[in-house]
Amino acid sequence: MASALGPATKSALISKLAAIVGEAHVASDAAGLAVYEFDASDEAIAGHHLPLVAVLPGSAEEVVQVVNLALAHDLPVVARGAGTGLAGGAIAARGGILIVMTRMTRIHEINEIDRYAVVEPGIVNLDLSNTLLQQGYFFAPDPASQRVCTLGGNIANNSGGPHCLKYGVTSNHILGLEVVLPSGELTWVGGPSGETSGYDLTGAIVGSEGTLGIVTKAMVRLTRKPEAVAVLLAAFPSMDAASRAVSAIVAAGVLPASLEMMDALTISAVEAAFHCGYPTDAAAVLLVELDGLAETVAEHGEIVARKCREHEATMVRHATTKAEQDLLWLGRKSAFGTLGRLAPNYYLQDTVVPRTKLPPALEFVGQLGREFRLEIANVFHAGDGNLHPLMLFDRRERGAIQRVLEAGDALLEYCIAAGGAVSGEHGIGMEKKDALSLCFTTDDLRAMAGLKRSFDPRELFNPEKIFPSGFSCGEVNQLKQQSLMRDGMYVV
Amino acid sequence: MSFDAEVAKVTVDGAEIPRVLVPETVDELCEALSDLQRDRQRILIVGGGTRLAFGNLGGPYDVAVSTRRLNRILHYEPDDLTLAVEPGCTIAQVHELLGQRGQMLALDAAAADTSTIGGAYAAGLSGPRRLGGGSLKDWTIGVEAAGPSGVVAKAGGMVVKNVTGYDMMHVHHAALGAFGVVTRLNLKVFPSPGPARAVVIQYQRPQDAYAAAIALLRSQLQPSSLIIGNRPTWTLRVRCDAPPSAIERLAERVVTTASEAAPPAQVDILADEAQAVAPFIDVTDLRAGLGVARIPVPASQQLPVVELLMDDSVCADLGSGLVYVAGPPTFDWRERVIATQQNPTFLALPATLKEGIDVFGSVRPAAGEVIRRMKQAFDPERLLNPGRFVLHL
Repeated sequence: MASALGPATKSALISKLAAIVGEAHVASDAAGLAVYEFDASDEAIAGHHLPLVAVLPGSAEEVVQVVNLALAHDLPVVARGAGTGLAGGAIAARGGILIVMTRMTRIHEINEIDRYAVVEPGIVNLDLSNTLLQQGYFFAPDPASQRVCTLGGNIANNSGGPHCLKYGVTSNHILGLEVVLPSGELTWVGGPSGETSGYDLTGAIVGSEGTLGIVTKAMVRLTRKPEAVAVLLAAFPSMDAASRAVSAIVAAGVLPASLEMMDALTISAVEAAFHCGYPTDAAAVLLVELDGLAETVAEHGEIVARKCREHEATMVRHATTKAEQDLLWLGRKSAFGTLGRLAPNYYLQDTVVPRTKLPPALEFVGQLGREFRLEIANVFHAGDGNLHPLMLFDRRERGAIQRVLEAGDALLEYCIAAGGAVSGEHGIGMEKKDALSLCFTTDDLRAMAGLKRSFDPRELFNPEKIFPSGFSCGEVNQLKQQSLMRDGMYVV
Repeated sequence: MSFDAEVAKVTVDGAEIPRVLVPETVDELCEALSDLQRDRQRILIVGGGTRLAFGNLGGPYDVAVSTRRLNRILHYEPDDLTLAVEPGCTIAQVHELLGQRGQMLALDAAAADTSTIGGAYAAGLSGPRRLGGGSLKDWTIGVEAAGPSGVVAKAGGMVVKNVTGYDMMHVHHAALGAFGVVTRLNLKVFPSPGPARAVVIQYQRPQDAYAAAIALLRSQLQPSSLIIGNRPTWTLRVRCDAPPSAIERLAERVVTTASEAAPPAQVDILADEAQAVAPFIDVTDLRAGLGVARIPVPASQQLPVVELLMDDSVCADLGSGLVYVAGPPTFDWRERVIATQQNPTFLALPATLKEGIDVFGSVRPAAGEVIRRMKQAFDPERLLNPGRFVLHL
């Protein structure tokens, strides 16, 4: 544990770290570390956790040296990007060395023919896509935070975003990784081909929240910019009508690039901030983007408009210019921030249901609002069934955060009972690790622990994440747990 | 447990397995695994048996466990675009089910009538439509697998977006059963895009076929698959999928783009979409008794590799960055493939030629150590497909 280091040892450690990454790239005093105490999750969930020291390496070789130093001192290591994670994944829960990747932003290679780029994990998602767009390509995963979040964070959390409906999640766009393993070794996994020789560990590492390795380079898939793009906005008199339209669109054989929903509360906040042209008298809107061949986009645009009208849409509008399309997307992607106009705090729950279960799930969200006396804004990836209710509250009000968390838990339980999952795209981190046992048995978790143990037998890479409290992946602790379980003394 | 004349005899690498179990349910499978573990029986896992040629020289095996009777559709909700199947469902069975509802998986495979979806997943074999539609690796949203003790562990779920827990779907994919016997696959499926066309363009020289193919890869025409075969002549085959209003024009645009890059000897636009991947199906039929290899080479680097192998049947999958080659099962052929220096995976070889090599190719040492520990964690007694996996695990 970090606290076990005496002052002299700590001081020597900091000197060694400074020798590796440069003095300017080490933070070890209270002021320097304060910015790393939180990520974008609520402090009520993740708590306050200071690393012993934070370093900002500039290369893979520096990361290797830092990790090996940590291993020599038996210190935990936690990788962090921009700190936009919503589940506490990038917080140094057990202290140790925080490795901040934001200086590693280089693009090493762009290969248009083989459609990949090799980039460092600190690059901001949108910067990567904007660079690629100049050559007619883009990186498909586009979380709402893409203007600030880093590729490394996207990989760690297997991030989604509005365009996952058609293009899939981050995992589908990572071809290979250069990674520092918990053994301290640097290696590549995967590669530019659809299947690599040997056995590919890439898919296991993506989404593992830094618990299996630290990514120092990623080979990302480039997606060709489509020939045509259409954006449609449809207004509905109720959330129910809008969510039925979502099912109808998918059932009609149309797979939009994205299919997003916003409710009246969100629209009011977005319009007040950005004046995007969303109808403020609608109970819900669908923002539908179609892309592909011109003929396909035109035909599917007609189907989408028809399905919306069949499901009570009061208005269907085509955003005809690029500027108009961008403005609508600006509103959608900035929606979370605009809710600050309505309340000082919000808690964003990320959960997912099969898309046909959206209407009752949204009804349940409404019930929660009434039961827990909460204003809840909904802005989410309807096409994926990925709910993002934002529970608005004022932290200063006594008991408010407890009501919010209870409502969040109730929603999770509802969604799992409806065939859904604990998290669609924000990750487990510290926020939801105890909820894992809602959908996984001890046997399920033990299998996952086998994977963790294979990579990180000492449990030093991002500890206290993903697995429920008290569930240890280490070999010794596993045996202890098994013995306790046999004696009926331990239940996950 | 049933007796089935078709699966009663299982031969792998020239050796007949003395005993074959064919569980009818997952419970039966788990019970069998538990019993077999107690007796330290070494198990060969078999599905449709069409890919048994793939894998290192392992064993000896005491018993084969067939997943062929685990062939139920467990869940299909077309409006959610999700499907759950048992591993013994054949690929043809899955295609037929989805086709009835205007949906699909872009999965091409040799012997689709007998080849199982669990086998394709475990062997990590997807086809050229990976370019436009992804692969089993991308579509698997949930997995259940029984360990050697017969305990089933699940991961993922029935939703298309899910980051709950580790991605075991990618762990079991292409693991050749080394970490467990897959008992259920949850898949996301897709609406059928509409009618398909196979655009078949013949060239005199391979460099012309490549020039045309790369022009198409860089275009916005979004071909579903793009392969070059060398039999009987150098032929670029492109699969196009689009709604009825767009399909003819798309096929014509493909021809125009290819022809502008390199003038073809002959062009055919065929309604029989199977022609778009025919060389892939031929070359990757592992039952043919030939040597078959899969060589990872990105499209831009493929031409010199293909030229080295032009005496054999070659299917270059540009969209997947893979070159498949089938040739006589001889030492010389094996060495010719190894001489490409592209770290090939041998999908089929006679047992004698498997000796002394790892058919999966080489693995970086640090990653290899992790894979060894994974085998130790999931199958410490090495009872599941022993020796067949990477590093002879």
